[in-house]
Amino acid sequence: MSQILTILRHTLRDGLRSRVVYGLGAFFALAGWMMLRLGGDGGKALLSLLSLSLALVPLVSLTYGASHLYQARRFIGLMLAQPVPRHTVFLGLYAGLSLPLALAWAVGVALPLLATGAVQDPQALLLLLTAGVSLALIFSAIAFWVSMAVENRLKGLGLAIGSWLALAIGWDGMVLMLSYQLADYPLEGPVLALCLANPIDLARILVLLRFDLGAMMGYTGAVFRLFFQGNLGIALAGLALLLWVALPLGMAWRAFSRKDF
Amino acid sequence: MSRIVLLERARQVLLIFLLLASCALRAEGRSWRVRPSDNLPAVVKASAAGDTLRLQSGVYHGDSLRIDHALTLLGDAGAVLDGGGGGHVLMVRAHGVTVRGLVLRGAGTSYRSDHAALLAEGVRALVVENCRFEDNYFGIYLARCAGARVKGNTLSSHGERESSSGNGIHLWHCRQVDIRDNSIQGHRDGIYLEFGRHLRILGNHSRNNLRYGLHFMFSDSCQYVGNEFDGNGAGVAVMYSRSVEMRANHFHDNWGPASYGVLLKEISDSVIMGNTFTRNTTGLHVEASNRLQVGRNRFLRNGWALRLMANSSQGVYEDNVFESNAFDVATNGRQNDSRFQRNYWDRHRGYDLDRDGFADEAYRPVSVFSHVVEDQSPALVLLRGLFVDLLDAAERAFPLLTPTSLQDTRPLMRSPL
Amino acid sequence: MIQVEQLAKRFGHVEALKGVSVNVPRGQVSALIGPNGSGKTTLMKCLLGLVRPDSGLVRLEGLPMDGDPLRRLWMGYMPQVPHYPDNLSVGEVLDLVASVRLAARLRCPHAPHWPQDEPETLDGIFPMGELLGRRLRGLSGGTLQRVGAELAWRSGAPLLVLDEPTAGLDPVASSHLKDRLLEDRARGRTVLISSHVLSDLQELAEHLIFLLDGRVHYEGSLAGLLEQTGEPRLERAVARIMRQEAA
Repeated sequence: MSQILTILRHTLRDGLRSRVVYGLGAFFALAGWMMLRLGGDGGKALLSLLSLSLALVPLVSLTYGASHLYQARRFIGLMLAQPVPRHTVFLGLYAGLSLPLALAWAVGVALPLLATGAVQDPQALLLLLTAGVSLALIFSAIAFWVSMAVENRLKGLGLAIGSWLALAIGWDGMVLMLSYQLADYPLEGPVLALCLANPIDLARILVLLRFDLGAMMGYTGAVFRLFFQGNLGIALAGLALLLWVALPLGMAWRAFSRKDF
Repeated sequence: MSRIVLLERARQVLLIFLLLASCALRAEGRSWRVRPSDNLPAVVKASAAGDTLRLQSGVYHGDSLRIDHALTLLGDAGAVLDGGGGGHVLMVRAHGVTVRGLVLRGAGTSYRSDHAALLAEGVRALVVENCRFEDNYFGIYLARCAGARVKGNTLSSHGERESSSGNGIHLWHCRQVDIRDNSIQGHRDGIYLEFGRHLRILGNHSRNNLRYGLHFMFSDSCQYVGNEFDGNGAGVAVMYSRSVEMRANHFHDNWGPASYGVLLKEISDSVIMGNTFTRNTTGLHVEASNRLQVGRNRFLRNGWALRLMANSSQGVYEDNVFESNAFDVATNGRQNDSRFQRNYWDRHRGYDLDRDGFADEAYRPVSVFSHVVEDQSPALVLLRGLFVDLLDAAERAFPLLTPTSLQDTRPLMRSPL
Repeated sequence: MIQVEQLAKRFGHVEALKGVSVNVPRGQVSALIGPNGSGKTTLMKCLLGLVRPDSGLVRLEGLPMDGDPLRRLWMGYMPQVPHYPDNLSVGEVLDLVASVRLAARLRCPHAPHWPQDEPETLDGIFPMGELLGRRLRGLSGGTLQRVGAELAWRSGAPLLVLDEPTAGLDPVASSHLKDRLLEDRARGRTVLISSHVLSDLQELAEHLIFLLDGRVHYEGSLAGLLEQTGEPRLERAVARIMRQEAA
């Protein structure tokens, strides 16, 4: 057990020394503070921060994550020559990547909101924080997978950015096209299901249901709103997010455990 | 002056005085104290025009009580007319009736007749003040009345379904009626007006009604000032009327897929000024309504703030404030000839080099995504996603789908609030 | 001490090891030689578990390695190309490895420590003092090699696996290291060392493993190879073999 702690101590320290991590937190703190100064409304600031986070957290997690892990090959080589099991090194690396990112982002978002006391709906803030932290964990896991499975660093970074484009933008475009193609069918359910399969959209919908989306979406929205406010709904959403972390992480582990260093 | 002339003058004065005195005596009428144990219909029958009936505290059972001559009915605290679910409770059939301070309840639900707690047909100068109407099918039903005043009443019902509920205050073919400072809830429509003229709806609070807080049609030249409408099943819907004035009302918390802050359908030459639309699914929906002046309103935290359908023309939208709405302006089609000026749009990020307080470039408030959603409503689930934001940004730069003419030529840089 | 049985490893299209079976005898210095690309580094990495062989077995003291990380308590490794995490300082990396090994030792108390109960260090020949605070990022190749050596010796492992240890070291440091190896040999340490500097190996090694093109070309005593080729010097012996192979 103390092996994982030793490794964590080093990987976390390494992560917390990173300029990217601090930059992320500082950016969001600044953005939040500016929004509150210009608009003043806690709810509005939260929504804008949501949009920003949904775009940036996955992107930064992917690119910084992939780049950091390609760099870490040296550390990995050093550690794997020691009497340390691979899974300990794996977990230490993942934690050292994802946790500082998630923490820096969460602090950056929460700080201006809490400091100015502008939060009217603490549950919404909590939802936003959960969403962002989940995204940091999910996309760090995907970055891990990419960097272990793809040998070439440039190709790996390209793949990372490509997957961001696909999930952050392409997915929604595809959903839109599908809804036009299949316009004759009752689509609200399938479209919603498609969106929930994308972690970014899932995070977004969970937060938005607390704002305006539920009532605007008609009958389906009302049902979904009730669903996600109930315990079953929250549990299922949590499960979906967990799956989105577990699957890429599992694939990353498979690649890592077999990899030659 | 001679003594004979003086005496004659004095006699005339005395005569006039006596005449006036007798008139006053006659107009004064008698005052009756009525107890619950009394037979109220009999008392009414025995009374004369101009009398006052003072009902003491207690429950007076019986429905369809007819008032055939000008009476003033006053109720002590706790005086209740209970129709027992029969027909109407009070039926006013004379001019000049005043009802004050009574509690009226038990106008029965019926699928054939519009049973009301207070029904008045073809009368003038009716006054209904400070009464409480509880659990009635219809509350106050005025047909073909003129010059009535309905003030300070509280109407509440516990309607469960639209089909088995009546309206709170229902006016049909009335004119010059004042409806003010009433509170209505739990009915089908809080205030319902049809074929009205010169009606004044002021300072009422209509909320949590099953369908509309306010519903009028074919009622020209009416005024709606300082009312509050919230939590009604479908908000407020007004139709087929001209010269309507809606000022300083507060439309809020009307959530639901078919719920509107205000739905305007074929309303023309009207003024919508200084109202507040907050937290509605749709704040203001404008359908086939022409020559509207919509100004100084505030749209805050609505789903769609303003839905301006292409079949409405020549509207003027000035000095409004749009803040924290999911969609500010949505429309269908590419036609628009309404004018937008000097509005404040919180989404707008413009620059003001000449520092005149207005942005230097015109602003197009319609999001192409709102267009998409009109077409494909399931797409709404993509709201606030990155893809949609990019789509909107692209459309703002190069409009392909949204009407180019729908633009605010001088958008405000700062919120006036 | 180490028995390798039929180790095979392929990287993409390249077969680095084609069924290699060797012995690393205890208490001796074994030299691993062969031209570039013959599979030396791959073999060493397989011993350590850095590379996963496609087939074959590695035994430590007769027991299969089995992917058990604790077996690496028996080995101290000095890699050919010293790559260390940039952000750490020398002191931090030494601490890190030491803590990690200590934690492993607590779980495996019967693992041998070499020498008995004494912390091992190369401080005598490679003083670390002034380096401890410096970030690994800015260090020269030679300095990094020294850090690598220090790490390997500090492991206190009975087997040292050294991949080209003198490459990049200046002649003085190189000779210091050789002297230290001779000392350790005299005390009975097991060493597996690969190097291109065959003259050094001649001084140090008793056992020789010659890999050629992924296969064992020769395994046995160093003296035996010299006798076989009739050359007194290892370099010449190897050169002769290479020429024969080319022909």
